[in-house]
This record gives sequence, C-alpha cells and structure tokens, in this order.
Amino acid sequence: MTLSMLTPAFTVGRNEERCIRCGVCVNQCINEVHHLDEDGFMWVTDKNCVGCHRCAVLCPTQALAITEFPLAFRPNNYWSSASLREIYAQAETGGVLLTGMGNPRPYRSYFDHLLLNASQVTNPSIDPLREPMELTTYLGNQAAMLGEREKPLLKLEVPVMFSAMSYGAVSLNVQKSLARAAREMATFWNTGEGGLHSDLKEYADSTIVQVASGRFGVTPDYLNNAAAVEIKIGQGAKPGIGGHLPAEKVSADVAKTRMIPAWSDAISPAPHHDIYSIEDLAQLIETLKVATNYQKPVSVKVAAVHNISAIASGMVRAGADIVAIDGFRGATGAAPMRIRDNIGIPIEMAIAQVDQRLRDEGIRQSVSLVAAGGIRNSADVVKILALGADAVYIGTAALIALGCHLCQTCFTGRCNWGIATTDRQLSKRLNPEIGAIRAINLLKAWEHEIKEMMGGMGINAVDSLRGNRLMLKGIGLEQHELELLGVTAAGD
Amino acid sequence: MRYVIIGNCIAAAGAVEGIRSADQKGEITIIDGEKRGCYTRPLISYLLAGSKPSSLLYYRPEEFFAQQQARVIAGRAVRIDPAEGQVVLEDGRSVDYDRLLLATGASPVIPGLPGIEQPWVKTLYTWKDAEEIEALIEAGGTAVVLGSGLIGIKAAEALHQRNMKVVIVEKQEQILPRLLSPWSATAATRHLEEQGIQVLTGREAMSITEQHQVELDNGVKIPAQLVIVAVGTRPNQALARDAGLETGQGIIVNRHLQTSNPNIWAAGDVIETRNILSGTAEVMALLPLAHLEGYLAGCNMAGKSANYPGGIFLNAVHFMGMHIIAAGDPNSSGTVLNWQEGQSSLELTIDGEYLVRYISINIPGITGPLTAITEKQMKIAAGEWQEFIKQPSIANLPAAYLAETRRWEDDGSLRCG
Amino acid sequence: MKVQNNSEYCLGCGLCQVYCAAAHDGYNGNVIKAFKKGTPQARAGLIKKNHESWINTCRHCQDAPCINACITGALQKDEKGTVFIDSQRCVGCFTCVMVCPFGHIQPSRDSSRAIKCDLCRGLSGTPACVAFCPNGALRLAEEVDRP
Ligand SMILES: Cc1cc2nc3c(=O)[nH]c(=O)nc-3n(C[C@H](O)[C@H](O)[C@H](O)COP(=O)(O)OP(=O)(O)OC[C@H]3O[C@@H](n4cnc5c(N)ncnc54)[C@H](O)[C@@H]3O)c2cc1C
Ligand code: SF4
Repeated sequence: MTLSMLTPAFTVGRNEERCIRCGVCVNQCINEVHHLDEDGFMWVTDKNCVGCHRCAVLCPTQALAITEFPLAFRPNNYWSSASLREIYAQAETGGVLLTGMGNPRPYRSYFDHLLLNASQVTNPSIDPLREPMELTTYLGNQAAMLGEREKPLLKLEVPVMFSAMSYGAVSLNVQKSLARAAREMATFWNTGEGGLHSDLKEYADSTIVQVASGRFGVTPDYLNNAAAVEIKIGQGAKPGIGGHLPAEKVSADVAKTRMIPAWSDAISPAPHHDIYSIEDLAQLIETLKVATNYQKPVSVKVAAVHNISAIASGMVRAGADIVAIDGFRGATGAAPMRIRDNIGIPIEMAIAQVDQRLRDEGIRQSVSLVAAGGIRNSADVVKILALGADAVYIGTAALIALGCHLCQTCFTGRCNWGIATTDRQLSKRLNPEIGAIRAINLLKAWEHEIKEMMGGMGINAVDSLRGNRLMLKGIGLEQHELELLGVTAAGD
Repeated sequence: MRYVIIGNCIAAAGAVEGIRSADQKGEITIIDGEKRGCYTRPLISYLLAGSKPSSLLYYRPEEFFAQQQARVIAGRAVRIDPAEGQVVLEDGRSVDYDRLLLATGASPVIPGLPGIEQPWVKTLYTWKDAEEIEALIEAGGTAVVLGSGLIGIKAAEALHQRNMKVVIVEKQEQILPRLLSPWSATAATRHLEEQGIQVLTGREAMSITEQHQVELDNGVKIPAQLVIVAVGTRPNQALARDAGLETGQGIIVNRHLQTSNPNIWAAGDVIETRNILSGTAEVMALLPLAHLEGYLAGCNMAGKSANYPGGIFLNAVHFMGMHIIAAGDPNSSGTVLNWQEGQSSLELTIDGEYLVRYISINIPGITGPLTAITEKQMKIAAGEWQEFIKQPSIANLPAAYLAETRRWEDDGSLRCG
Repeated sequence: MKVQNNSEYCLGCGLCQVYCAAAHDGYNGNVIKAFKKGTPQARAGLIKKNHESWINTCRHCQDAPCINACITGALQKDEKGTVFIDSQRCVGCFTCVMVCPFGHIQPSRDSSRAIKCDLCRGLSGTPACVAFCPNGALRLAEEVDRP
C-alpha cells in the first residue's frame, strides 16, 4: 500500500524571526520532526509529531508553536475525525490500536459534578496556618479485637501515594524520583509489577512492592524489601487483560530486575493462574503474609468494574488489608485503545458503592480503601475521600509533574521526556534530583490545598472527612446518580 | 624575612606572587636594572607596530607591586656577596637579603660582524630598543632582519606594518628552525612572501657597510635603512658566575630552583631548565616557563616545598594572520601523522607510544590537549590517533586522553606545598 | 568555584552554549538579539562522544597554566579565584590556548583574541550555562574533590 490517508495530527510552526538555528529541537526530538541541513535550512515533518512539546519547551527563543493540523473533516456529530483516523490506521496496519496513558473520552466526570461544603456562621471554619490540621492516615486492617495480634499498618503523612508504575514501563529515573519524593513526604511509592531495581532498595520503608500475574522479580527478598505488598489483579486502563512489555523495552537492566531474558517480550497473563476464586485469593494473601512474617499489610488492586462492591467485599473477606480500586480513567504504559476507552466504571461511583457496601456489611473497619485512576488535583482527592476512600494513588498526575505531556505514545518506548522509556539516552532526560523536587512540590501543594478545603468545611482531621458525604453536593446529576453516589443535589 | 629579586620582569612578577602565597609579611625588594618597570617583553613588537599603546605594556596592573608590598629599586646590580648576604648596585648602594632570586633574564647575542656597531643596527629586546628603532623607521625604506626566530619574525611583521620593505636573512635552510619542520616552514615562508616579506634562507650576512648595505655570503648586497639583529639570546649569568654559583649554559638549579648556594634561587631565561622529554638541562627562554619558575621559586623561598619538573619546548607565534603553535622535541623522530585543510595543517610525531612533537598551523583550538599529552608523556599509541588526525577536534582526541582529563577534574598542574 | 558536569544527565542539547554565547560580548543574555544581530560565541565547547556529552568548561585551576603562560598579563584571577581574560590586553597570540591541558580556551571566531569561561562575572547570579541547563547536569561547585 503506498498512499497513507493518515494526515498529520499536529503542525509545527516556526517563527523565523525568533529561530536562531541552535538545533535544540533537532537533537531533542526522537521522532525526527525537525531537520537542519548544512546550509542552515530547517524543515519539519509534521506527520511525525506526537504533540509532546519537548522542542517547544526547550526552544530558547520560544520560536515553536504546535497546533492541531488544520485539516477538518466535514462536521459530523457521529463520525468524529478520531473515528475516521482510527479506521484509516487499522485499514493500513490490520492491527489492534495501541495507546498509552488514560481514557481521554468525554465520559461524564463525577468529580466535576460534585461541590464541597464550607462553614458559615453556624460552625466555624479553621485556618490551617493557625490551627493544627491532621492529615495522618493509617492504611490496613484496623478492626483488631482486644487481645488480638496488632495488625501492621501503613502510616501516611499525606493521603496521596504514587501508583504502581513498573520499571520497564517507565524509566528507572521515574521510580527514583517518586521513591525519593515518597520518602521525603512520608508516603509510599509502588514498584508496579516489574520487580525492584537494586538502586531502590534503600527506599524499602517507603515502598509498596507488587505481585502481579507475571510474578516478575518476586522473591522473599523482594517482598521483605518493602513496607507493604500489593497483589495486582487488574488495572483501570485495561481490566481483564494482562500486560505486554515489548521486547524493545526489556533492556539488560530491566531484564535483570524482572528476572527474565533480556530483549524478550515480558508477558503478564490476563489472570493469575492460581486465582480463580475468592478462596484462591485468600490463599495467595495468606502466603504473602506468611512470607513477610505478618509484618506487612497486603493490598489487593482491582479495576473498577460492574459488580465492584461484591468483588471488594469478597477481597476483604479473603484477608486483604487494603483494597485499591483503579477507575476507568486509570493510565497505562500500553493498552489496546478499545479496551482502555470502553471498559470499567468511574472511580467516584466505585468508591461510593464499595464504601457503602462494606459499611452495610460491617467490615469497613477491617480494610482501607485506596482510590486510583484519574485523580487530577487536590479537590478530586478531597471529594473521593468524602465519598469513602482512605487515600488515593496518583499516576498520571505524578508523571505530569515529572514532565509528561500526555502525548499518549508511551507504548512506543520513545518518550521524549525520558519517562515511559528504558532507552539510556532518553532516560537521561529525567534527572531524578529534579524529578523528586517536582514530585515533592506537587504533594506539598496538594497537602496545603487539602488542609485549606478541610479548614473551610470546619474539619481538622482527615478522619472526619472520610466517607463524610454530607460535605458533598451533586450538581447537574440525575436522581439515580445522586443516589448511587450517596449525596444530595446542590441546593437540596 | 628579607627577599631580594634581581631583575624586574616575568620571573620576578611570578616570584612575588609565589612568595606572597606563603608569606604575607616578609620584605620584598626588586632590583630593576632596566628602570622601566615590569613590562612584558613580547609586546614591544606590538608597540613598534603601533598596535598597542605603551600603557598596555606592563605585565601586571600598576598597583600590583604596591598591593603585594614589594619595593622596586631602579638600579643595576653589579655584585653579589653571598657571605654577607648582600647585593651591591652600580651606584654603590647595597641591599641585604636573607633569600635572593636571580631573575636576570637574557640578552641578545651580537655576532661579531664588521659594521655591526653602527647606530642603525639594532636588536629588538627591550622597550628602549623599540623606542630607538622607532626613530629609525622610514616608510618605504628597507629593513633587513638577521635571524628568523621568534623575535626576528615579530620584528619583521612590525616593520612591515610600518610600511617598510622587509628582508629576512636566515642562515639555516628554513625559517623558525627550532619550531618548525621543513614542511611546515615552507608553508610559513610562503605566507610571509605572500604578505610581501622577502625571505632568504640558507644565507648568512657577512658584513654591514657604512653605505647602508648588508652583504651576504653570496656577495649580494642588500640596501638597508635599518638592520635588526635577532640571532639568539644568551642568559645574563655574569653576576651568578662571579658570586661562585654553579653555571653552565645558564645558571644551574635543582628541582626547587635553588642554585648551588642554598640562599639563592634562580628562575626565568637565565637558568638551565630540565627538558622533560630529553631529561637534559637546556636554556629554554620561554615566557610561560619564566613565570612558572618565578612562581615556584618564590614559593620555595617562602618556605614551601614545590617541585619543578621542568618544561618542554613550546611556542605560539602569530604573524600576519597565521597562527603557528608547536611543542616538543625538534630533534625527534618517529611516525609522522599529517592533516591538512586549506591554510590549516597539523603534524604529529609519535615515537613508540608517545607524542613527542606537534606543529599546528592555523588550528590553535586543539593544541592545549596536545601540549598536555606531550608534556605529561601520556601513553597513546599511533593507532589511537586515527580519528583525530582525520578530523582534529577536542572530541576526537584519543579516548585515553579524554578519560584522563575527566578524571583530572582539577588542574593537573603544579601546586605549591 | 567552577562549573561541574554531571554528564550522567547531560543531554547534549547545547542550550548551555546558546545561553553562554548570549551572556557574553555585551548581549546581556538576550538570545534573539545575540544570534540575530551579532556573532555570539560560546565560551565552553560541548563535547559529544559515544552517546556521552559534557561541556569542556574551565576548571579555574589553582595554579592556572594559562595565567603562567599569558605573555601580556591579560589572563588574571580575580579575588574569587575566577580565571578571566582582560580582552583589552589580549593580543591573540594563543599561548594560553596552547597550554590549557583541557583545551578549554579557544580563539575568538575572528582569531583576534582568546576567549574563555569567566563564570559570567560581568552578570549577576549563577553562570548562564548552569542557570539554563534544562536537566541539572551542570552545577557551580566550590572546590571539586580531587581524585
Ligand atoms: C620581541 C620578543 C618577543 C617574545 N615573544 C615571546 C613569545 O611569544 N613567547 C614566549 O614564550 N616568549 C617570548 N619572548 C621571550 C620572553 O620575553 C622571555 O622568555 C621572558 O621575558 C623571560 O622573562 P625573565 O623574567 O626570565 O627575563 P627577562 O624578561 O629577560 O627579564 C630580566 C630583567 O632583568 C634585568 N637584569 C639583568 N641583569 C640585571 C642586573 N644585574 N641588575 C638588575 N637587573 C638586571 C634585565 O634588564 C631584564 O629587565 C619574547 C621576547 C622578545 C624580546
Ligand atoms: S583555561 Fe584551562 S588552564 Fe586556564 S584555568 Fe581554565 S582549565 Fe585551567
């Protein structure tokens, strides 16, 4: 086939009055969009541009502007330009459409339909700069009976943790940045399913290690080099399917960490082949607890799917100390687009439902709920806590803090920002010293904002916010949605 | 502590800096025989050419000696009395010292040619020389320069810039014989000739007539309004010899730049320097060495213990837009690697696994590392130069050098104490 | 003080050179003006070798060979230890170029004088290369640990 119908998605404009031919754009674009020849002539290949902004951000004269390629299809409210382009692509390749990061479709975001309360006259608001404000959060089973053995808990000074992102999917420098930030902010980062690189062992007390269906890098040493262990059943971006780290990303170092041959595909099966029931899950949880001498809480992570409350209930009964639920906006390093964009349910609904179900069953105390998938800012955090979560995981937001521009080409391994790559040259682009500072700054800013919003509501401890749906009002929601979320309408 | 320095030039300035790096209090006295202050000799040709004002001739800013609390006495030393620790000046004054530095430099060699004493036959070695030549310059007239060493070439350039017709007479078969190979000398000669300077190599001046003529060994007589004699220099070591210090070609010093008398040090053009490449002691009248030697001698006089490993022969000359930089042993042999592009060229001589000499024309940027490799005798086989000699650049230097410098992180040079 | 490389994080992007050039010769850091109206020249060369890169900047040697070698006294050290060239005095003989063991000092583009890193002493704040390195690969170090 010779003619491609895929016209460029972006166009790169160069302001000739500003461009000084320094060549930074040329040497920074791994997609070879920019070219400079010996005569000083510059040109661009728009087709290669993924809209990551690496060139525009580094350009010392701000000579570059990247805009949508101005080629409009005849307006069609049903057949969007994206639909057409996807078909052209499949007609050319015959393949599954791959993508990265989270579901970008315009589904309703319940975060954007919830409003927070504030104190006026009848109860005082609190100024977090003057009054103590408690964000300390404990995760784990807190239902121990008198005389029962103390259950291990995770202590967070801010109820925000970094989501599981495996070495291989992201660069080691991403993990280094997040691990340092987690330690500094007294919270946790999560290894993801790719094992624990030896450089990161020193962060054990701030680390959650994951055990997923591929069991990459899992050894007794791995399990004990952490504060908690997480069994990954599913992930919001691709519920029901496994993982596939393409061979090109399996560098020698990645291979060593995962304990697999280098430059071979790393396949995580869709299910854990030893888990076909709640009882099987209970067995694995118990095995991990034994392996860690009951010293570490065990978390189980699932994607938010249709009957999530029943599933969560079963997980608690199987012995999970923490249930992490990943909503349908959850991000990934690589997923089939159809799966990412069409499967799962919103995290807001999932948390509201699960929290209610566990309360109704009287087992809410035995578990902590962690919400993940699409938390964009501190207000989202406050809202999801009020809906019933104990803490959140942030993935996309953390990567954006490190420089991710959501170009969604993570699956290619050619991330211009040194994030979703294992290429040595590209990985260099994220200096973990800088990355850590940026991630710390983000958490500090959020911490501050959370305190302010809580103060406004007259709440001085995060414990009093958790599941406090009276602090939420729905706006623009249908009656049944309000009911599912357990909130009343604004003005009600 | 009373420090006395004889001579007020580069080595002296270095010594003041060296002494003060270790001793803030001691008394420093400098005996300035030229009575012109501490100026930099190489600039006198620029003064002559009219491209630098005399105010920029001083080697250190005006306030330097005052700031360093060094007293400068205008006067020539005529005798040293080591037993008394005393220096006697021409006017009969005497200066007492605890530690003495001889930085008396060198003087031009004057060949015994008939007619050499005539007032229009000059050397270009001092500020005063430059002023006297200035009075003899006649635009359109002819100047004959005897000798094509560094000074001869710079004199020729200056006079050419002052619109004189210039003829260089060189006894050897090529110009800049200590610096260049026959091949590179040809390029340099061509450049001089293209700029309008006549170069006669393999010719010797036999006499200078009262009729303003220079007579050559082949009988040719060149009319000349002005003759500059630049056939070499010789250390001013009479004072040292008379004081009973060990001397050879120049004053003999040990690794601490100390003479045979433990209270007397010597530095600069007046001493014999150890040639790192040959291991022998030679007179190397080079400004970079003069300053370093002065500095290290100063350090040692003030009680530190700084070793001076010696130097290599090296020089940078530029004339009329051509930049020549060369270093190493002129008598070396080995594998020769060449690179040439337009007016630029590079010649490396590699003896076994060592770079022993390089000559660069119009490609100065890469010479620093080449000097370091030569001087530090870094082991690099000829094969490792392949990439560099195809396209000389810092990045293409042998990997061993790059690795080494990145380890150096610090200077890799000498340090007091 | 000297600029120290952390070449593990050097991208070889060359922004250090762009900002260095604009920080000197009177362009006052105005990149567009420098490159559109003038002929700016960076003081430090960026070396790229086998996927590694670093800038070949001045080490501001304690006993700087270039200062020893300078035939005019143009090369000096200020009270902070910064080795700089008084370009008024420089005659472009390149003796300093010849002796800098790192090959840091370079001829100006017109070969009329030598140029080198002066830690942006004319401008306030951190040297431009350090300030504008996008990846923290350069830092201003007090004294570098000696091997
Ligand atoms: C035209 C010219 C160009 C040059 N160009 C270069 C160049 O490009 N590169 C290079 O490396 N070198 C060059 N040189 C050589 C360089 O100038 C010398 O190497 C340097 O000046 C040596 O310094 P010094 O302090 O040892 O001695 P000098 O400069 O010779 O100074 C010694 C001083 O001591 C004084 N003195 C001697 N005896 C007594 C006494 N008894 N009492 C009191 N004072 C006394 C002398 O009058 C003189 O002023 C050049 C020289 C000349 C003349
Ligand atoms: S220019 Fe070279 S010799 Fe001079 S101080 Fe800097 S690194 Fe050292």
